[in-house]
Amino acid sequence: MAEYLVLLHEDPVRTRNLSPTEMQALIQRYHEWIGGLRAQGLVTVGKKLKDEGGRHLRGDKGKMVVSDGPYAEGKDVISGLFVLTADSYEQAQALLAPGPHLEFGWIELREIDVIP
Amino acid sequence: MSSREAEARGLVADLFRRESGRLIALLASRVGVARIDMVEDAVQDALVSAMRNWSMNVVPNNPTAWLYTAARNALTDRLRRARFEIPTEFTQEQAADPDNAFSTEAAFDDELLRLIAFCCHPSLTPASQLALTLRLACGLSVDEIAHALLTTPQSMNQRIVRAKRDLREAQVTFDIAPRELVQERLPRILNAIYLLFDAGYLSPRHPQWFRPLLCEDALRLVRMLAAHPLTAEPETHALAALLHLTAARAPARVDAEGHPVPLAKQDRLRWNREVIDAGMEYFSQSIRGDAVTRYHIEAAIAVTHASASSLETTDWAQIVRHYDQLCELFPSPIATLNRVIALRYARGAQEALRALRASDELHAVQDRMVYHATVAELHEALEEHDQAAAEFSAAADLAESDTLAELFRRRAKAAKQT
Repeated sequence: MAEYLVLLHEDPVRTRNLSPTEMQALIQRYHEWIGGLRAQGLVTVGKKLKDEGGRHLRGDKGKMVVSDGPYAEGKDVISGLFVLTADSYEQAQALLAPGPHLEFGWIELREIDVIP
Repeated sequence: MSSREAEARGLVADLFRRESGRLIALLASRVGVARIDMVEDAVQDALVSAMRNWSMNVVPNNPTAWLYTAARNALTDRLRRARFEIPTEFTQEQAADPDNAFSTEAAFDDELLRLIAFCCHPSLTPASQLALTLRLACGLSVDEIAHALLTTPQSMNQRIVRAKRDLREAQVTFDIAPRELVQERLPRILNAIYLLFDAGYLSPRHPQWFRPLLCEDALRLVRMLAAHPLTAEPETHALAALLHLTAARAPARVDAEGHPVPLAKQDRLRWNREVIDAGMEYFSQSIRGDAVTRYHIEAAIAVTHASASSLETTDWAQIVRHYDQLCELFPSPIATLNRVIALRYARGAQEALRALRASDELHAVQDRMVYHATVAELHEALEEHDQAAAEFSAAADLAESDTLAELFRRRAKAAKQT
């Protein structure tokens, strides 16, 4: 068994154009999807990130330079993350495929490296 | 409560749509309706944020209060960014506990009522009043309204933008004297609700001929108006009665294939008794006083139908009398056509057909599906099968919904084979 980091990227412009009815229906679908994975014990950490885009920290001649992350108006923001347990990339992909997220954004899937 | 339980609890159906209207009403009343666009954006911010948050987490205990706080914060941000002055009462409220600052149900209805009155301002056409009400008070997106009212999203968007601009230029506010609200706005509000229900109940040109969601919105709004002391007028009760008694038939009017079932063939045991009782109660409230509106007469017809256990035991003579009154006081081709249908049951198809041919008014609806369907039914009742088939075919050609077209084609075929 391996663990995978699942990063939910989304295009804020696409989500903004949803109607209230569509948004409420989406909540239901996310719950069924992630709730289903959780019920099987496959999700260990599940977090939603704040909408403000966060901060970017960079070094410049030994000093830390802080800038704002992409605004909500940006094209691509990470809106949530969770850690998924699966045998392989293929199995992880199969578990993620039924979710609604790909209709509104894309998913970055990374295997968490474990030092033996 | 464990997170699993909260997750399973989910959300009340239509919560987002309902809250959208109420939040717009409440916030616009605080910061002024001139900022309605910013208010709409802030409410959308709050809903998007709730969607992201609640999708990944659990739904909060009090979703309504959560949304209110989120929308108010989003609006404060937007006002600040646009360098607008933020009303002091608004900032003071910020400091208070969000749950306590959250208005009661009744106060919300007050704001929603003023928002609807704003949407139904007399300077707008009935079509714009309806579009704006659907957008601001009912929480439908522009695309959804365009879909409901059979137009393109672009032209619907233009209509709504123009309506808002007209109201802004005329400096229309939420402040309205109770007298003005009742005398000038209420008839327009009721008309918009009537149109909304109608669009949902039977749209011959729509791919989905029956859209219960729009009907439910209309029922919700009319119930609110009937319960509000300012708008609980006899005509409001009459419209509430009409819409409830009509909506009560919904379970019996769709067959297993999704086709409409005409009143004559409906299984009346499937009519919703509870909704009928509510309609009857509204009707008894509506006849206090002397007012006779279109809604009173139409409601009286619906009462007569709802009181009969079958088509045969229906007091058709009474229904014809109601239609006589309707045609006299509020003449329209549709009223005349419905009177013809009632005549068929009261005095026979021959007489109904005679009345239909004698009416000049009905020339105006000769290109409508419903006209040909009615004529076809009359010929069928008289066993004039060729004419019935021709009329059913004409109705099928005019129906823009595939379901209805198929239904009439089938009936044309059946008539031909008889």
